[in-house]
Amino acid sequence: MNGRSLNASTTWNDMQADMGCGSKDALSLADITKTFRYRGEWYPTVADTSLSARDGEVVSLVGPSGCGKSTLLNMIAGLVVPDTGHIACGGDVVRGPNTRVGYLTQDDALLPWRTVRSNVALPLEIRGLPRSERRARAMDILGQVGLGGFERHYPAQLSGGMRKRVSLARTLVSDVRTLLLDEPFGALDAQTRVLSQRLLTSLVERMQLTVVLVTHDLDEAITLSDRVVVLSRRPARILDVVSIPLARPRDVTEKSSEHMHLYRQIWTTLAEQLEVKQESERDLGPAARSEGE
Amino acid sequence: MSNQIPAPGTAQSGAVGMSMRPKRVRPRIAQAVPGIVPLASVALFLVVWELSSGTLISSYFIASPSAVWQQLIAWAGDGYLAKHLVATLSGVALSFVVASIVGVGLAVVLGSSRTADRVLYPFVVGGFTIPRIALAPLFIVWFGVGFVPAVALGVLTAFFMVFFNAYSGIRNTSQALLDISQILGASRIQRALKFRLPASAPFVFEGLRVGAIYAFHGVVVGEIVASSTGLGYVIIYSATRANPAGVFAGLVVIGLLATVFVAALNWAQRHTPG
Repeated sequence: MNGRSLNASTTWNDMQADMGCGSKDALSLADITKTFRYRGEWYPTVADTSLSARDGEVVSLVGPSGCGKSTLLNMIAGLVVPDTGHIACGGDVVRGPNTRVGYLTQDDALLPWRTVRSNVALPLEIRGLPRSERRARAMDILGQVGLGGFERHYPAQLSGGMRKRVSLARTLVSDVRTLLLDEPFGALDAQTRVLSQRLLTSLVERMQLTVVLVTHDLDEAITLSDRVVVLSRRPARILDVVSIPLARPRDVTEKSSEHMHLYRQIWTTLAEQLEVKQESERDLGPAARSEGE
Repeated sequence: MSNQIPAPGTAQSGAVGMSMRPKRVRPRIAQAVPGIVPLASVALFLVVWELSSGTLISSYFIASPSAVWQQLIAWAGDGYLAKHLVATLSGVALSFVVASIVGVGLAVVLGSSRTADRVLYPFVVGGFTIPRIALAPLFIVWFGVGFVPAVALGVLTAFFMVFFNAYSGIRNTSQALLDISQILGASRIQRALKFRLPASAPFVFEGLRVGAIYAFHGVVVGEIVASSTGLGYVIIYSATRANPAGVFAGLVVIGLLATVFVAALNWAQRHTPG
């Protein structure tokens, strides 16, 4: 299963075959298409994309800026409805907001008027759990993300990295099995990012979470993932699926020669997209800078 | 020596510390006693007013400060002032509470439900365009002359301020928070009360602050046109009795009350968490 690449024309059935029959997919997207209409113009954003993730698998999506990666996550989260195709999560077709996933967006989306503990306990509060249980579980998960002792703080009193961890704790507190992460560490400084990645890696491995990670950071994609899906520029199509056979546990700061090889492989595919884009569109700059070394 | 004005040309070349000192002589008193300038200007105004009332201007149009003071003392002595003050204050409090509950409540409903918004918003805007005072005759027909129509006018005046502020805050809840509320499976009511309403708290508080002042205005106007109690009534009654000192006394009390009111609201806003 590992070590194989899929090309752009991979169909849903091929994909399923590749995933191995018998093992139930935690997440599957079949023939997804999405076109947005903005000021009378149609913008095809996602085209014929099929994708799946096994239970406990970490799949990264990389691709040029604005290629539709976030739209894919929004569709998995049930916030955006695809034009064609269907999405299944844990065997059930997604219709409407998907409460089976935890979604960590680019901004931390914490409620500034609530304390850290109250933010983390919010999913349980919505589900109507008793206060004592909410508190206990929030405190437990806060300990796991290394924020014990900060439960009475307000989000504004915390650093960006800490807010991210609160957001992660809020996502994990409700026992979701699947995480959607949209450039979760993009806005953090380099050191904080490494620590956050390390935390995420250990949590994912310990809790056996299925993760779909959108990122611009190829090192992050390689270190955290079992597979890296390389998407084309808009409308997003799958160009390549690179399996990451690196042994676990992995260290975020360690880059083996195998790591570098994978990096070059992904970068080569991606760079073509960036170059083509550079000729036809102007807004490439930031993507090339953030993805290049 | 040090207070001497430097000779032309020496100001810039002299000692740096000294060259600025003569300019500070005049504001020095103002600095020593905070608030002396506004107090002095008010005192001067009162003196001019006192001297011109009955000499330059007929005291029938402008009652002198001393006459207004005597009127206030007289009213304070026989309980007249207390009675009408209580009527106005309770009217303001009542109309503010009602307007706040209805205003915020309706803003939550319209801001959270697209259907309710489409159905009800035209009526709210329609109501807003009608001058509130034009509804006073209707209130007199409905409630008679007295405390109730004044409160009704206060409610109506305050309501729109509370509503529109809260409504715009609730409508502008960040999409990121609403997305999270959906992923977490929040119900419509949970989304409205746990996300939209607290997220718009600054707008709601501003609406309440402005609404409180408008409730005061509405009640006083209501008392003038449709009541037999309150400070508004005191003014109109004094006017019909050809008692300019009474009119001015009423205005003075209203002005003081408004000042205290605004100061209290500003204080409350500063001491509101968040």
